[in-house]
Amino acid sequence: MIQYSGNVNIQLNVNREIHEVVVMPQDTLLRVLREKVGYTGPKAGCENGDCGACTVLLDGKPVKACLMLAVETVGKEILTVEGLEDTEIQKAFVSEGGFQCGFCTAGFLMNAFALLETKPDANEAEKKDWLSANLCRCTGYEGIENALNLAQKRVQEKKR
Amino acid sequence: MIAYNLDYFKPETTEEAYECMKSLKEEKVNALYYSGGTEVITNLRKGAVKADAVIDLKGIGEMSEILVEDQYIIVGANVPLNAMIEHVELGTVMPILNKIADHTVRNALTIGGNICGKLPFREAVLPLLALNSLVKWVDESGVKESLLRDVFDKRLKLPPNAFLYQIMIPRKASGKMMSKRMEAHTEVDYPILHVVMNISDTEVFVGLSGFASFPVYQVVPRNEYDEWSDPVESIAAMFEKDAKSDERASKEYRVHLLKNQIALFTGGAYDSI
Amino acid sequence: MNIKNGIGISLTRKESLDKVSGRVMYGSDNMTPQMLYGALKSSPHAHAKILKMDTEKAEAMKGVKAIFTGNDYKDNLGLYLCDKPPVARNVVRHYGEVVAAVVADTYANAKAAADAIAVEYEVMTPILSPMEALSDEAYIIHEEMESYSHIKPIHPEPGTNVANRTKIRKGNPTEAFKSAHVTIETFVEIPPGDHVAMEPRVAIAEIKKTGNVHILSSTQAPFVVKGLMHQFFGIDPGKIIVKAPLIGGGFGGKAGIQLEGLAYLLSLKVGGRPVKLVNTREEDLTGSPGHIGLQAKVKIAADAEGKIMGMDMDYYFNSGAYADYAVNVSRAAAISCTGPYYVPNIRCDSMCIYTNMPFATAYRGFGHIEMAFAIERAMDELANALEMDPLELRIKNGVKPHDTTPVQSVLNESTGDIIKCFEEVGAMLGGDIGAIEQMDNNVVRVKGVTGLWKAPAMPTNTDAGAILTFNADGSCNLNTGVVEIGQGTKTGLAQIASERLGIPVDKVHVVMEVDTSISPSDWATAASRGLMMAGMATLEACEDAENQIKEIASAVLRVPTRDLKVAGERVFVPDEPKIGLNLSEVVLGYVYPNGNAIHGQVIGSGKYIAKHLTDIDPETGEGHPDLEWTLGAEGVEIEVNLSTGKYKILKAVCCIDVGKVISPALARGQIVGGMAMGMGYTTMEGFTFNDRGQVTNGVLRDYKIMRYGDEPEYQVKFLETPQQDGPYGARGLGEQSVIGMPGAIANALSRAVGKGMNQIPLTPEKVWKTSMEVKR
Repeated sequence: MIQYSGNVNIQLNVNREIHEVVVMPQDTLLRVLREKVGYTGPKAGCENGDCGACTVLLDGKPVKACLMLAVETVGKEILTVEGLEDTEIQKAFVSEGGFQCGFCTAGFLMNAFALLETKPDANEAEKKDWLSANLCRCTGYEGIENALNLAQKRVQEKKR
Repeated sequence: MIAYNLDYFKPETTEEAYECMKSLKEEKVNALYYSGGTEVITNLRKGAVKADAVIDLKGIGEMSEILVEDQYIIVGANVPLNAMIEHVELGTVMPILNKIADHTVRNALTIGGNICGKLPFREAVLPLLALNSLVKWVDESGVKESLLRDVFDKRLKLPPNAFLYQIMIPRKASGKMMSKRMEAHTEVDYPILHVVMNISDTEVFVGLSGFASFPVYQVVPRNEYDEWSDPVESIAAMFEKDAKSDERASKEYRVHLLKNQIALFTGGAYDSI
Repeated sequence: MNIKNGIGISLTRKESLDKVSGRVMYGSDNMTPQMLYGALKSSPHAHAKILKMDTEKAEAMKGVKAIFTGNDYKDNLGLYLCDKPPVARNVVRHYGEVVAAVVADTYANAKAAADAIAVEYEVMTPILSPMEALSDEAYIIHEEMESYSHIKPIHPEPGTNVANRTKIRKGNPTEAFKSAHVTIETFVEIPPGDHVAMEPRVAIAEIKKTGNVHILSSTQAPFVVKGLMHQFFGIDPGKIIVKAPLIGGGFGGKAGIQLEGLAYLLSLKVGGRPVKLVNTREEDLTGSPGHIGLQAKVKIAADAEGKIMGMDMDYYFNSGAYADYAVNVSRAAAISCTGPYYVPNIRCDSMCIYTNMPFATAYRGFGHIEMAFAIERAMDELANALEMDPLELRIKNGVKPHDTTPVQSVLNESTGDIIKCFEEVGAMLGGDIGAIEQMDNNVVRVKGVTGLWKAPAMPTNTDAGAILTFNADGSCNLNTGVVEIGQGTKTGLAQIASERLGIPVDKVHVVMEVDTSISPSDWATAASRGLMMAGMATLEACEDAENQIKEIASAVLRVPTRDLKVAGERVFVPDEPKIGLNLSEVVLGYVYPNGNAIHGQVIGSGKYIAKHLTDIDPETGEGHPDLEWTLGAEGVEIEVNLSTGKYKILKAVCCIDVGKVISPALARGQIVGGMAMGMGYTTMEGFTFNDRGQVTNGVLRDYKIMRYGDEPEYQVKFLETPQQDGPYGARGLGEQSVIGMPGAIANALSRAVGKGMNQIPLTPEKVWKTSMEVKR
């Protein structure tokens, strides 16, 4: 049985690198990524699972890093926005106005990236199902929707 | 963000988990079983729940699996809702589960966590009750099994220190399952009414979440139901006393929506005016 | 002139790549090992006496460095009216009010200690609406109002709960109502709510041994913070250094002063060490200020043809427990109290009233979204009474150049064309605004339209500045005091400089962060005046730089400066284009082949200050506080299911006269974003309260805003009636599109149910209930 109490030393696989960090069992993945590992891309918009600004990928699936303990993620692959490199969704967010202030952007990008990786042919209902997990206050969602559609088109073209 | 110290245990067998809880309780350690964590972390952050330790059940392999057997689809209590929604054999429960929380949260939120949570909704229980599923739980003497309907009354009633292990959903469920979830406005929200109705040859099931301060359901023998002249009013009458008013909706509106929806399900008459 | 790089085209934002790769440092991303952390303790009561506060246990807890309570600082702080202690002193005036703060080595330790502070309250009955606060029985929320200092343009009424009253008196409204063919009266209500910028507010304060006070803050107004830190705490202005990094959305909620004062006091308490204070979302919703609420009565008198003869209005703005920006919000609403319609006879009292609700600050639209809801509901009521098409009524009364405003200033030729805006909106909605299209038994489609106008509400001496420096490759660096909050102004300013100097926009670098010790002064990134004012300053800085470039080239090329032209990254003689120099040879001073150098670097500077603005007369409102007016019209088409009240906004349209579109994509982004915010505001937002005044939706789980998939089809059209004193004719556009949405949605839904829907939020339940009442 694994047992953690007080300060514990764990290894986290973040953005394809192993990071050794000292955490407490109650530390959320979000706080550990930001304060211990040093990836501030995931944001604390509510720390209550409501806004999605802290979304990261855990073994390829989007999760809210504020609703997860860091110790739970040992042995899993964690991907933050800093680990995305020149993806179609990033390019489309830039060209289509997928953000204004940018605070929600990392969460939207991770979620949309995972969607296009797992379901490149996602229909409108699936897109809504996935992306309605994130809040944006600036764009009215028009730019995000356009960016997702453009990136999807490009991803589909590449697969052909 | 949790501002208080928490010990973390991750047992690998059911026995280990049960013993862990038992011994912590004996030491007066306030421990919680932990599955997806989405609700526990929220409550610990806000101080709505106090705990000194969590016992993460995700180390118990079979509790994270979906097994398809002859009679039943066996779903481990740690299976995230999205894994159920995406499972080919679980099409009937899908439309009910896929509105709970949001898609990202459902990657972590588990079936066991939803049913055993402290929130008043516990929507995932509705289709399981409707299909007359069985549940297995672990207590002092090992794994126990029972009809969900026998151990669920507003909440899952398990003995002290016991935890939900698996859910057995009958594969050959009979009947026509209908469901509708309504929110105060935007869809990613708690329901003001989530109604599941299953009409089979032998019985009619109606279960509601978000309507009362806990999930409520009624099972009516089919022959009795067939004799009702006004099923809308008859069904509403069974639930009306439990309807609640809160900042999302009034009791009056909830009852209206229920009647309206039952009328749509049954083709019955309901003049809202 | 290189058209490709100038104005009128859509460019990606300067900070784009950093934003999509997680590289932007927002306030809370700043962490250093020596930093201490603040945590807040909030009141669960709306109105209570603080009988006792026991901090002993908390003080002994791990990592705790200091605890700050109401007794630690004796004075009040306040933007326009000094009414607010940094944390509650003796009395709590709203749910969520901060009653104590803890500083510790980690946030978790600070939070645990804050939780351990025991507060004993005597709970009292709260006042939960502005009209209730005016009743004779109402207790006085600020008994010491008489002693509060305040700025001159606001008019508090000590001994009452009125924090400001702005009066508008124009013509003879009594006579107009007497002789009218038709009069109508409307009453509307809007609850207080929140901006819900995705970034919760943050401030980091440190006091160095030199006495320099460093503040890093998620502020829209670093220079306001600087000014107020001087005013409140007597710190030398030159020793206050406020830095504003990129901001995660503001919408007015980060204007004025927020956590900065408390962060400074906390740092003071721990010997000047850096203290980081970050709101939790819950604290951001109810502890820090949100948007204002309103109750309003509007009466309109019109003749038989539908010409408005007079308006009579009482706006009861709900300031909540403190005045903050709310006193000026109520004033701004008074200045444009009629909406974009010509009204010869007016009586309006616009009041800012204290209640025991979370307090209000600036919010996108600044009083106009609330005022417009009242006016536009009333306009539709008037159309009903006259049996006139709602669009036709608006076209008939829309303001035109040479009309006078409620404050009797005269609209000039720079005023946009609202008539055309109305026509465009009508066309985008397919006309026939008054129609109810029956889709099936229970489902109807309906439309609603509104007009909007807004002038910036700002001090009469509002300013902006720009400094232009250069690099060895001939590129330039543009430094302004405008904060990048997501609106894209930095990119827009780069486009203006690019257009003016003929330097490709990629070579116009912008200084993203604002630092009050380096950046030129700029009042605040608020009131939709950033692009216009900083744009004018940028143009002047470009002109200054251009003159210097010509001066250098004139010496080298031996031609008079008047014969030189700067374009295409060169300075040259237009008749003989070969005679010229590359900018890279000039901008850091010209060096002759023998090593002699002249002039030195080019530094362009420019400034702008609003001209001829005056305060308004306290008795009549007469004056000229309005710099420029942006006009527009909006509309929606909605499908409503009357059996459940559920509705879906199918289409939202806006036509707005912005003078000149600098960047179409950024401009559309602002308009669409504002429309979405207005839709959320109208359909689902606003705080809910129990009868004890506790906010029952003070968490994002319960305070709902629009999500992906809730958005309708957006249609946006721009008109370009030039602003004669704006950069390339441009005027403000950041806030305006939020203003018309409540009225448009409410007008459509009112038509669907057959009765006025006048209470925001217009929930499906309300639609169903109203529809039922009508049918009964």
